[in-house]
Amino acid sequence: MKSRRYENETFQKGVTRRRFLGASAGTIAAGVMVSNLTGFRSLAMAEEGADTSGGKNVEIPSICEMCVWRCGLIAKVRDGVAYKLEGNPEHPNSRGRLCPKGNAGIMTLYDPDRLKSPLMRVGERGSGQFKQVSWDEALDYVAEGMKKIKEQHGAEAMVMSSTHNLAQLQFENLLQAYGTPNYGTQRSLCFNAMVMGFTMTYGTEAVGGDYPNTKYIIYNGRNLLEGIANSETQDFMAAVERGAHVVVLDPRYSKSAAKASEWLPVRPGGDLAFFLALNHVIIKEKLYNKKFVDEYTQGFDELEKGIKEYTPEWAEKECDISAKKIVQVARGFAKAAPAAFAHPNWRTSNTLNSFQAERAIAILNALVGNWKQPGGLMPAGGEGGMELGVIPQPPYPRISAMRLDAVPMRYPLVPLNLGVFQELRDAILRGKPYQAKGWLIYRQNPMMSLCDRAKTLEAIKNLDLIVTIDIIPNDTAFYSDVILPESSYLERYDPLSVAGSKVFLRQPVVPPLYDTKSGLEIFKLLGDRVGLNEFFNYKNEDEYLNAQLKPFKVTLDDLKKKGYYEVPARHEEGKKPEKDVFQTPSGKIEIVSAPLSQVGFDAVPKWKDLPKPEANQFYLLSGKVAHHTQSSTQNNQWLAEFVPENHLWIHTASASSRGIKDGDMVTVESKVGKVTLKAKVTEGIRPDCVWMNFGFGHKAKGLSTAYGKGALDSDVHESISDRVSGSQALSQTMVTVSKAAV
Amino acid sequence: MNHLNARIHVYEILASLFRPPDDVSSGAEECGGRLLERLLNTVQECCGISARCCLRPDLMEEIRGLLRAFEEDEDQAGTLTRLAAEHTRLFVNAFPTLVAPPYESFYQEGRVMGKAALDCRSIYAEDGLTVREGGELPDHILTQMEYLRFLCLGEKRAADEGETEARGLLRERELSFIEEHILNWLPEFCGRIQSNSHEPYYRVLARFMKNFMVLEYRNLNHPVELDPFEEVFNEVKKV
Repeated sequence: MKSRRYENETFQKGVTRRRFLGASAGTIAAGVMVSNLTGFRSLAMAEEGADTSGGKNVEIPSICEMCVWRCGLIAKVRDGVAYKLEGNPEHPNSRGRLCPKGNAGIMTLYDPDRLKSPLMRVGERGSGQFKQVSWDEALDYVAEGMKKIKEQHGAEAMVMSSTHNLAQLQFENLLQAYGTPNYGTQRSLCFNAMVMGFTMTYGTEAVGGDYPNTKYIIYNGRNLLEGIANSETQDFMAAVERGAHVVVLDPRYSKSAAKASEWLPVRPGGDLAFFLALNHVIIKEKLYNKKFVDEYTQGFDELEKGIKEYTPEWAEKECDISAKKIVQVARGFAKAAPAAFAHPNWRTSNTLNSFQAERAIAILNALVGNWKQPGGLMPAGGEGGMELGVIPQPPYPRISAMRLDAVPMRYPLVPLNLGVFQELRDAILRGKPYQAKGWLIYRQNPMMSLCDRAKTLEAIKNLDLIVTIDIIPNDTAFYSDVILPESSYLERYDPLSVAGSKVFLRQPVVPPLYDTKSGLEIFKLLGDRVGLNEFFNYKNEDEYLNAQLKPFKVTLDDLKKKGYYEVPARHEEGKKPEKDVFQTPSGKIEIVSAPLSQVGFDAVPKWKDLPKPEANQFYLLSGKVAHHTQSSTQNNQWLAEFVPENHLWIHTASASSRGIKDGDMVTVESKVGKVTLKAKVTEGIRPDCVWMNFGFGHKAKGLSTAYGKGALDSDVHESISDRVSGSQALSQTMVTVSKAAV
Repeated sequence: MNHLNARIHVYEILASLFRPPDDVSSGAEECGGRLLERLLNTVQECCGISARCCLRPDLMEEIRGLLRAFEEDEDQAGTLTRLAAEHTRLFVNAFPTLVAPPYESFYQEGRVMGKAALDCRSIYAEDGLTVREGGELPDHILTQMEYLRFLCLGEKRAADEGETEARGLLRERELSFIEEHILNWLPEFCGRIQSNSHEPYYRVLARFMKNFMVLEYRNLNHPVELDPFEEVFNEVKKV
């Protein structure tokens, strides 16, 4: 058939048969048919003079969703088909550039595997047998199920979970109006330790530093070239190019380590020892900023006393970085300060010491007085500071039920909005303190993201209702009873997004290809059916967006055209900035944290011994590559061309002693599971560690590009939680590796 | 029923067969077994002797068997659900892999809304047609079947009014659409259904559809007034 196609193409270069005939035959056909298209499902007579080409060449501004960074994009659309996505130069998160994933968004839109219609399970759960149903049928079923659960077991028996999305706002509205305290987010699998470590020290998160002016940066595992945060990744590259001194601690030779001035292959968990020793040197050698410490911090004396034992020589044994190097880094960092910062990092769910490591990093920054200084540490700004309009609604019902994720009972300090997701799963499995009955999951993939997948699969057997809202048939959808298809980010509206001083709009760049809806519409339709219509006082997306825009002097039509609205700066009347007051109990940067000691945790960071691998074992590490976002992009054919599967990184010496050659299939085994994947034999990893990229090993066979490729670390990861921050300790599972039997 | 009327009906039925079989919005009358029955009757009426049409005796017998099974079925609702699940697995979303994506673009570019879809859309536009909101994509099998039905309806009108030239032009148009689009992908599409469907219903449909389209192609290329089916029978057998 290929050759026929080519023949036709050649033929079409001249005058095609149909085009030659077009006018006469077409006119005749049309002339007789106008009244006769009843019963046609897809085709209709075009209105007189209507544009049937699908639209001319247009460029439409919107917001990317290939990860959660929310870059501004400009979609180039020809004949109604999006053919190129580019970074919007007006958007601070993209500055005119998109990452590999953002560029490949086209293929997420036009992926034939996408969810196209509401589906309901007709076979056993996990049999993969679904049937296409109407929205009414699917939503009625879900609403009935949710009402029944609430009546019979209370709203708390319904678990709801979501990842970081623009429409998450309305998802949270639904769960609060419904009245369940059980909300699962990805946070405890990601950044609980970082957020809590910095919040308990500064009263706010710090998100990074003043890159253009910095002279010295220390990253602890943060890998901006593979865990891309577009604008910050650009900042990182510019700083490297400018000649800033960059130190990267990572057991693996990541792309960021390759660009750094120094790669320090730290022992997993030894990072706390390294930062304690940096603090030790800086205090001992009086390299700290005394004026700043006196004025803005509290608890220095206690730290000075406690830190004495953490000498570089002691630390060397725990982190495998030489005492000499530790001293050198401490001196270099202090010398460059305040134009220096130790990065707060991002995914810090690594070991049971990670929270205290983050505390030690926060304190290190405080000692050199780099807070808000040129080249120093910068507080989170981003989405705060601008009030969007809201639609009036009644107060939420009071929730008295205990949370299933054991916050605050077992995790007294974990903020309610962070939660401990893995505990929620464990409670579903145990049925205690009460049995959850339903789970509504929005754009999240807990069947892959939660450690110890076997446990998750066991837990869902206790549920009567599992509903997934997503754009692709992922592993969680596979095990669901009802699947509701959301329109892709290039086909829908979402709540407004604030970046800096601008309000940005995500809007459709093409109409939905299939029978899908936006989250905004789905939550409203569901809310109405569950009897919560007064919490969803909008008819459609336009009405919702208009309400959000109300405080600003801009119309929705203008916003659609331009893509954003810049809020005029308020006149400051030349006031000098007031002295910083920190949102902590003492109003100062808390080197000693009273809230920590009140519940029995260490008030200043202290070392605790961690388990180490036996002679034949490795630390199992996991992380990202630049071409994929978590487990959501592996089915994107363009991205799969670059990274179609994951490999197990293993050191040359460790591989050779096991007879493993590059590309061999190897089996990785822990206490909880076993996976097989290809080995990548490399010098770029510590001999006592193996590493794999998260997001592969899909069980959902609906993903024809991703299914069966690589392996999933969650099948092998043990579920170990830090009591302070609720973080999952993702680098504390020990595994054995052997050549797989062929 | 004459040949042209039969073609109109067959295209209508083929389009309907790609709707969910339990979709009551299209009228319960049209669901599942009913459609098969209409298909069988239409083709039988059209060609008289089954052995000489695209319904070769064994295919005919398979359809009769399916019809009997439907009639004797004591759990029709259950059967329809099973067929609906199979429909979803074949054409909408599936675990495992979507068996037969019903989009021409997929077979050329591995995606949807590729060149084929755009080309179809502009062909429809030439005839004053557009894909309605909520309709399938322009190169979806259902849309393509509807377009051929549309052309056949035009051809019938021309025939009724004795507009020989116009009828000829419409037949040319049908032929070129089949040549430039249908034959690009339908054999593989039907082949995927035939080799992978769990349900004889869809296997039979796919086999019939493939035979029918090749027959259409041959017939439009070499019109034989008396017995088109006899003429092409040997060709069909090869497919």
